[in-house]
Amino acid sequence: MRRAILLAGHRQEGWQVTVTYGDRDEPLIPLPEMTLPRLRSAVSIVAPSLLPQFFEEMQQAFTQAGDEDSVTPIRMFYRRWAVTVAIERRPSVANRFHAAELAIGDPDSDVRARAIREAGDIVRAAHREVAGG
Amino acid sequence: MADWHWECDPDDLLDGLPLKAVQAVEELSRELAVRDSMIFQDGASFTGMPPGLRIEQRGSLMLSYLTDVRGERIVIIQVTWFG
Repeated sequence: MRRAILLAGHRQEGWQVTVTYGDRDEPLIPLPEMTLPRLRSAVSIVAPSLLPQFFEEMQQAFTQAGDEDSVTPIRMFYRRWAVTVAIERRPSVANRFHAAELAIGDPDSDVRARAIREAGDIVRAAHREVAGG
Repeated sequence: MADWHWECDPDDLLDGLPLKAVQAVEELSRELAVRDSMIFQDGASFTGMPPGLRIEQRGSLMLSYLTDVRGERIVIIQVTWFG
C-alpha cells in the first residue's frame, strides 16, 4: 500500500506535487553491491552514526588480511556490514530489531526469550538476503 | 564464572555445520561466556542497558551473539563459516 501525501500550498495551475511514502517495510535503498564505495555509501544513508565504526573495522579487516595473507577478514567485513545495511534499510525491521535488543534487558525471562528469538530471526533473515539464499 | 553459560537459539543452529566449525563455535562461545561473566558480575541483578548484538570473528568463524545478562548466558544467534 502506498500513501500519497498532498503537500499543501503546492497546487499550481492544475497540477499538484505529491510525495509518496511506501510501505513501512519498503527498503529505503536497494541492497548495495559488495564493493567498498557502494557499501560505504549505503551505510552513510541508512546508518550514518555507524560510519566511524565502519571505517575502524575496515582498517582492521585490511590490516588483518595483510598479516594473515588471507581474504577471509575482508569477506567477513563485507558480510557484517551488508547485513547491517539489510536490517537498517527497512525502518520497520530496524525498529523491531533495536526494540528487541533493548528487551533483552527485561526482568521477565519470557520477554527476554522472545526478544532473543526476534532479534535472531531478523539477523538470520538479513544474512540469507545478503548471501542470496 | 558463577552460572554463566552459552547456548544457541534456535537449538538446531549448528546443525549441518562442519565439525571444525562446531568445535570453533564451542571454543569461542565458552570464552565469550567467561568474558561476560567477568564484565557483568552478579548478572541476575543487572539493571543497565544490555549490550545488544555483537559479532566475533576468529579464523574462518564469524559468530553473532546476544548477552542475556540477567539470565547469565550468552546466546549464539547466527554462525557463518568461511571455510
